Amino acid sequence: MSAALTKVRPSVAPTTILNLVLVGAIALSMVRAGSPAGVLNPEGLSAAGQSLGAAFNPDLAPAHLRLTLAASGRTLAYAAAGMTLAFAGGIPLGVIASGSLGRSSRPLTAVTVACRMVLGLLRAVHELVWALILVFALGLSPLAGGLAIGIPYAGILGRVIADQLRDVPESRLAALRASGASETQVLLYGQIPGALPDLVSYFFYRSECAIRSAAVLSIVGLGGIGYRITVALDDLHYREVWTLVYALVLIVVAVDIWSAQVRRRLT
Amino acid sequence: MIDRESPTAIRLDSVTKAYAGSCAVSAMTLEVQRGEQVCLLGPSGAGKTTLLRLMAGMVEPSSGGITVFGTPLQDIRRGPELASVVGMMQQQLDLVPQLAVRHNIEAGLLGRWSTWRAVAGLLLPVQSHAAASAARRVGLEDKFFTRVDRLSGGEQQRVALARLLVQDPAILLVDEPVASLDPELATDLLSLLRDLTIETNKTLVASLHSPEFATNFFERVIGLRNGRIEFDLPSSKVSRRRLDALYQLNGRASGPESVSMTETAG
Amino acid sequence: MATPIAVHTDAPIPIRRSSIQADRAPAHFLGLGFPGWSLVAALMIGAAGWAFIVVDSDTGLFLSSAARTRLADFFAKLAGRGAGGSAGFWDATKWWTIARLTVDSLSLSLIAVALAGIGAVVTMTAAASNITYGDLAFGNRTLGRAIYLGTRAIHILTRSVPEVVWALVIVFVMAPGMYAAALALAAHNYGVLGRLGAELVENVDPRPLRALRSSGAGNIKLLLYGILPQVLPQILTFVFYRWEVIIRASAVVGFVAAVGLGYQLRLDLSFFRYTDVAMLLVAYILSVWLVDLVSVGLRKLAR
Ligand SMILES: Nc1ncnc2c1ncn2[C@@H]1O[C@H](COP(=O)(O)OP(=O)(O)O)[C@@H](O)[C@H]1O
Ligand SMILES: [Mg+2]
Repeated sequence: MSAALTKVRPSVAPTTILNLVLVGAIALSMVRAGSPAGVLNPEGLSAAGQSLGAAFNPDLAPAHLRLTLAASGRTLAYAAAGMTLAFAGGIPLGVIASGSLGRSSRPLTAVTVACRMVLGLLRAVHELVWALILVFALGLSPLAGGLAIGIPYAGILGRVIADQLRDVPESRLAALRASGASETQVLLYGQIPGALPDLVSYFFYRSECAIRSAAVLSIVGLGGIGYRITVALDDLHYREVWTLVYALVLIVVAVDIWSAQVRRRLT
Repeated sequence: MIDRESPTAIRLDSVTKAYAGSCAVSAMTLEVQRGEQVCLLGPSGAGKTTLLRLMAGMVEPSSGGITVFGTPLQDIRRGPELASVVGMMQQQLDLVPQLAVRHNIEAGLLGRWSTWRAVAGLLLPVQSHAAASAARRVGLEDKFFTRVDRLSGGEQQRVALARLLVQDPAILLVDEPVASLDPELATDLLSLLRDLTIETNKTLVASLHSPEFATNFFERVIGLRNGRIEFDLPSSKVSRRRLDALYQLNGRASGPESVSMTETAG
Repeated sequence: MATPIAVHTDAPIPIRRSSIQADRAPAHFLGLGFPGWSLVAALMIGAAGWAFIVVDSDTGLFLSSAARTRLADFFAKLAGRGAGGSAGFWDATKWWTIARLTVDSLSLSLIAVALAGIGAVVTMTAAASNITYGDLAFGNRTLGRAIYLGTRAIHILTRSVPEVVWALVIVFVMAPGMYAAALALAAHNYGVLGRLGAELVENVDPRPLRALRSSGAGNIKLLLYGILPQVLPQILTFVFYRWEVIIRASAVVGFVAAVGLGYQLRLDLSFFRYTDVAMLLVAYILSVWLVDLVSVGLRKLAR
């Protein structure tokens, strides 16, 4: 009676095997990480409670407010400088990497591939690692902060620009091509206007991320909000920590609202 | 407690369902006896789907009352209890395309399964006997482990039917089961539906828009137009003239062109 | 089904690529509407940022010869020239240690991906309005709304705190190590994935779900038989894509939580072991690329 059924077994899909491999890898990783017993540190809990309590009582003394303002300004400066650099670097690299400049010529293809690899290299390294390296190369100069944002963000923006330019539907470009436009003209009159709204809205979204990154990467000693937070944490001045955290939240929310407004108008 | 042996399966008491501006079902009074096989016939927009959804408790009437086996429909708890009384097969089937035939059929059992059984059903190769035999009954045993989105329209229709079978409600509500099938498959499916209803001693209300199928496969035909009952007759008494009227006069409410059409027809 | 998925690093919001939107482009910029002026303002803020950096840096940017020598010196040392020599590059045991650290970083990223992914899949339905209090809701809608708001808040909170900050917080209550680092990486990415998952669930085809409801399925059964089969392929592509973000961030979390390549990088930098730093960077970049490759492959398969 169920003979017909037992003949037809559920077939094992390749994805199932793959999932099993993944689960195995995760399990092995857990084994590697060892037993989680004893990793909890109960004393830390009271400190954590204390620090949470300070959330309702941030330090608003004028001296600390001034310091918070300075740290915020520095953080903003890193983010803003980084984003302009990312813009300036990402656009040319992205345009070349998109391959739109010369579909026919061979030497340009090599340049395209090279550009893509450079972009990959720039964004493979986390901004905080860039900050660490740059501080070593340049000393504790604010230049390190700007570059640490600008370099990886150029890689990310360039990649997105390349993808977006390639994704402009061919139907939009066909008319231009038919009227005898060169590749560069197609790029200027077809692809860039087509991709621009998305790119601008992405640029603003990325700026939000840049502020968060700038705050965080200053912990390597660059004097922004993140740095001040680590210093205050080390001194166990939790109330100061929260003032700084609120300042960061304020900035991020402000940029978030601005960016949402821009994006709303673009979509 | 719902008395499934009560002679009247469904009763509508001047039920109206209004959507913004229009009445999909207006002041309809209707009784369906236990064990009957009823066909709702009418052009598209006549209100067949809305009527079936009302009977299934999926939409609330704007006014009027519906009882099922003597119990007001709104008093029956949503979930397993309602699922054991009425079950509906929607026109769009509403299968989960990414799941295998087997799991789509077993979905009809979810009201009765424990959560653990449901988890086991997805993860382990422990198929339920009910699902397997329903698949066999609709002729899908060799597609039992195939994903539903790889099936043809007719096969998907049969999966939905098998799901309704395992849900095992006392009243089967079936919306346009053959709308997308070629005549041969349609004949197969309708005779399957009829045989199953008789075999399992259920009540069937189905909607169709083809008069031939309606009169061939059902004992009672209800003609619907603009949300009202035009005729309610044993299928042997449904005349050509009534059918023509049902379809030709349909457009009355929908524009000046059809008004002039009715004048020439009359 | 065919939602375009942005593949660029760290973007939780897939860019929409509708041609309708693209067609409206030029008008804004000729007339410089709000977006145009915003762009101008942003560039001015950027210029101000650079002005600050130039004024504030005593090294005088790259212009001073001291700064240039320092930079050149740094790169020369990275390449293994000058004091210390290039011995490290030919030292097999060093590479072996680095390989082990790389595996640590990879394991760490895998644990984090698993935690974040499972957490997101388990909670995404609770943050979807259609299931909790919308037309597919079941039972008490006020309670559903409360659950919805609570879960959303958790997702927002976890994702707005960056991984490194999570690590700083977590080492307070956990011993530094693999689990602390994995938890930090998972926390932020859980928020990102939870939000994306909730959006997927809100956009799911409701008809099969209604059918399941009418055959008596409760919330868990609805999730298993209706929602997960529909959204799992997409949520998996997001998860694999977040893996790329996680491996990249594992280095920085590692140097707070003392594991993997990140920690060693911090040590070697502070002891001025330049060749080791270069080797670690190579291993780091290779591991990011490896995950990139695997993830792209997995994303293709999941679709
Ligand atoms: N959800 C709804 N919202 C608004 N109008 C509806 C809705 N469902 C049905 N209608 C309207 O009710 C009428 C009857 O529809 P329906 O019951 O689907 O007819 P049938 O199934 O016979 O084609 C149609 O005019 C339709 O536009
Ligand atoms: Mg219909």
